[in-house]
Amino acid sequence: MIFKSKPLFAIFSLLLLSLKVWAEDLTELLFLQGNEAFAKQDYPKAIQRYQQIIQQNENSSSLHFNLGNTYFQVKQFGQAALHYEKSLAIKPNNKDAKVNLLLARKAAGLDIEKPTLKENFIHALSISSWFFLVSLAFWALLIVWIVHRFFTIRPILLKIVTPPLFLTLFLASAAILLSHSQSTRALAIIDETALRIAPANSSEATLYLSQAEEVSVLKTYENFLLCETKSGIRGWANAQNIGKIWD
Amino acid sequence: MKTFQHLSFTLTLSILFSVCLQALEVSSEFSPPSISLGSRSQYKLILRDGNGNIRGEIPRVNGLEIENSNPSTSNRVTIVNGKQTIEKSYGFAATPRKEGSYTVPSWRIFIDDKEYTVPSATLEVAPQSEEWNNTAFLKVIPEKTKFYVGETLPVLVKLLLRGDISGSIAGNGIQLNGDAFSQSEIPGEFQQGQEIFKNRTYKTAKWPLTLTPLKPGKHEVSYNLEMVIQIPDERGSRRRDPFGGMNSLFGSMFNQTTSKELSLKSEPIIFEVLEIPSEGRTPGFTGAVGQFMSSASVDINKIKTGEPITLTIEMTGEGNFNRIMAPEIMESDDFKAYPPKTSFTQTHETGLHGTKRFEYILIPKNENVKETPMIPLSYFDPIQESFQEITPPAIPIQVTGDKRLFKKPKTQTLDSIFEKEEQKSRGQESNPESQELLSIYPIQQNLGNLQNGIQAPVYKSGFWFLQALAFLSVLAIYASISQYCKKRHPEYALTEKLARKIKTTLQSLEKAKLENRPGDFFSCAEKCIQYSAGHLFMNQEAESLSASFILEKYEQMKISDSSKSIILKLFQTSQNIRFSGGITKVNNLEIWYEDTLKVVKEMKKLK
Repeated sequence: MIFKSKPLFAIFSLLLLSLKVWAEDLTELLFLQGNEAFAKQDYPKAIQRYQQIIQQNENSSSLHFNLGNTYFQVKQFGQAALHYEKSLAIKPNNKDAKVNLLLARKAAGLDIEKPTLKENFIHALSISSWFFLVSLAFWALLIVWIVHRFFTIRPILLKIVTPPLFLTLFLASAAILLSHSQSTRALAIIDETALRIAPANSSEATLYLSQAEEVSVLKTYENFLLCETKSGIRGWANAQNIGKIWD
Repeated sequence: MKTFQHLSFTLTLSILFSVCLQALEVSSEFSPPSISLGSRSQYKLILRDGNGNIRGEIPRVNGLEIENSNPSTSNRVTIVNGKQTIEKSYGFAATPRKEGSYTVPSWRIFIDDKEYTVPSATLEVAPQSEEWNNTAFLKVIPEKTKFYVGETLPVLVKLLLRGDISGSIAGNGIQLNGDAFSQSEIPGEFQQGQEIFKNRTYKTAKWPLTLTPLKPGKHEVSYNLEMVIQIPDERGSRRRDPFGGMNSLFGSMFNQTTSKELSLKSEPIIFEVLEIPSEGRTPGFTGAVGQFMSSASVDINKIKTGEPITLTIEMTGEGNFNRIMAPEIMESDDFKAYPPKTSFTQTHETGLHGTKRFEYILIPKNENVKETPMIPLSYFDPIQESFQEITPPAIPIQVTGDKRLFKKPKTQTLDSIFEKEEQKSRGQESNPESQELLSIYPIQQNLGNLQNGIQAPVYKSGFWFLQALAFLSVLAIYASISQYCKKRHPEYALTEKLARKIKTTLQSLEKAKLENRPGDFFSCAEKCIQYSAGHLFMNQEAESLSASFILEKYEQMKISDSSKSIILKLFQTSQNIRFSGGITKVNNLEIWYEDTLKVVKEMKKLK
């Protein structure tokens, strides 16, 4: 036993708690400073403050939204779109981020497409929420089975409880499977990002991507990513020019 | 570089001095022989009763820097009992780098090509004197220590430097310690002055600043300043440095001074920052804290519908101008409003006093408009600790004629963007009114829930921890219910026990079949049937049940005829084998095995 006495354990717990509170305070402060710099139109400082939070591996939908807005103001539409996407990955119902993402794509010179039914379904909830639903439905069904094994449950009750649970399990599992491809999504963050035949800067370019253009990352080799565009063209892009939405 | 200095020293000595040799004596000493760190001494070469061309090199001593070039010279003539002695000395500035004892070893010197030995000399360097501590101070003087989040507080940062010394600022100037505040820009030039402090004259430099707290609570604030000071040597004469740089404080001495780097830190001050109360908050409050007045004006008061008019709202007074946001004008049937242009004219260098101006472009939509819209405006007064309403009155205007049909503006939604794109793809010209669609939604003020990284939960340990927790909970629920049932319901306990027995007996049955041991096989088959029926006979051992007993019970449960026949045959064959001492031969155990399984399955169903 590490803690032989209760007071020592309490002190340790308090210390951990205060460290956590301190870290959260610091993050909040950086966020406020970023917002303040944005209000003063000091965009480099705002970017610096927001990025400091991300470097601490802290992410929130609002944080990426604000960072997207800051990049929008400095006309880095690729970066702006990437952070709006990140904001939506965390909170798919962030309507402001949806609008601003479209505007960033538009400002980057890309066509705006209406989302498909499949995309709407996947983005109805965040990936975390879908996972939560799958777990919830699975464990609830298991508990229903246990109770049913030991006690007599009225058939009508079983009919009311189990179908919605099975439906939830099915839909959430489907959403997770369909959104699996989302995990490879990435955006070109600078204009004229070259897709090359081989993972080398000297290799010939097959296509140049506009900033904010979406690709799927299939493979990584040293400092290059094998990307595939929506139209199915593949090529190696410098990793620095491509921003992955998911970590 | 060193060679050059030595050469320079040799040349200087050779050219400048010519000493007559009369029983020449050479000696050396440090003057003063003991100093404190940060001060300078002089290494003196003394010639008594002699002169000539001098050549030689002072030996190097680690940690002690002796300037070989441009020595100071002095002559002294003493007459004792009629005997005259002429003493000539050469002084070289010596600067120690750390405390300790430094000895310049004896060395050779040539005077008119004649060799002499200069004896060794020692310099003692003591740790830095406490006297330095009173050389300079950094002070922070706030107007008050209790204020509100967002309130701008004037703060004076003051440097006091002892009157007899000079100095210059090093590094980045004054630095704030305390991350809970935003600070106004540090002025490029500071205010200079003089004051008496602790019965001593000090030169002062003042930086008037403002601090704005970003979060409530008790926060500590202090300032740092790096500077280099020059303290004149006792014998040094003072002259003003005509080439003092930007950071030079009060002019520097450039003749015989001792330099020292000082790191100053002000006494920390604890500020109590209060949250602006949420009670009594008025709609026009946009973050203004202080004391303000407001006014409103328009650039023109006779216009046509569709023409723009500029409404200017001014807030004048004292407070946190840099944090005041423009109040919003809600879209109405009378006016179309555009986001305001904001400007600020300060009347005090700290930005605490001045006028903030919001210029709204308004377009009246119809002729019925008689006045500008009222823009609610209020501020929080930290002295009275309450919100004050300063909404300026509406200004009468006259709107005539329809310049053009005014369309209701579209709100910026996903649908409106898609609609616009579709119009574009159909080749329809976009409405100039909808140009505003390009303005993005503003930043969000709440950070929201934080999470580590953006990844699916399967990659997060927290997710698996929760799953493990759920698994353990389900296991615990299962175990608890099972335990409860065993204790409270003996029939359940018996059923569980029999189920386990059936399982193991079936395994034995299969083994006996494979090894072709009919005796064991039928014994196991019989037991399987007995255990399957055992729960119906609570007060009887399952092993003692006969086929007739079992079938009697199962008769009511409508067991199939084939199963009945199998049970009877199984029991019969088992009995035959038992009583014949295992002589009875039975063929095809596989069919018996299948039949047994079928019966057990049916009995299980009927349960």
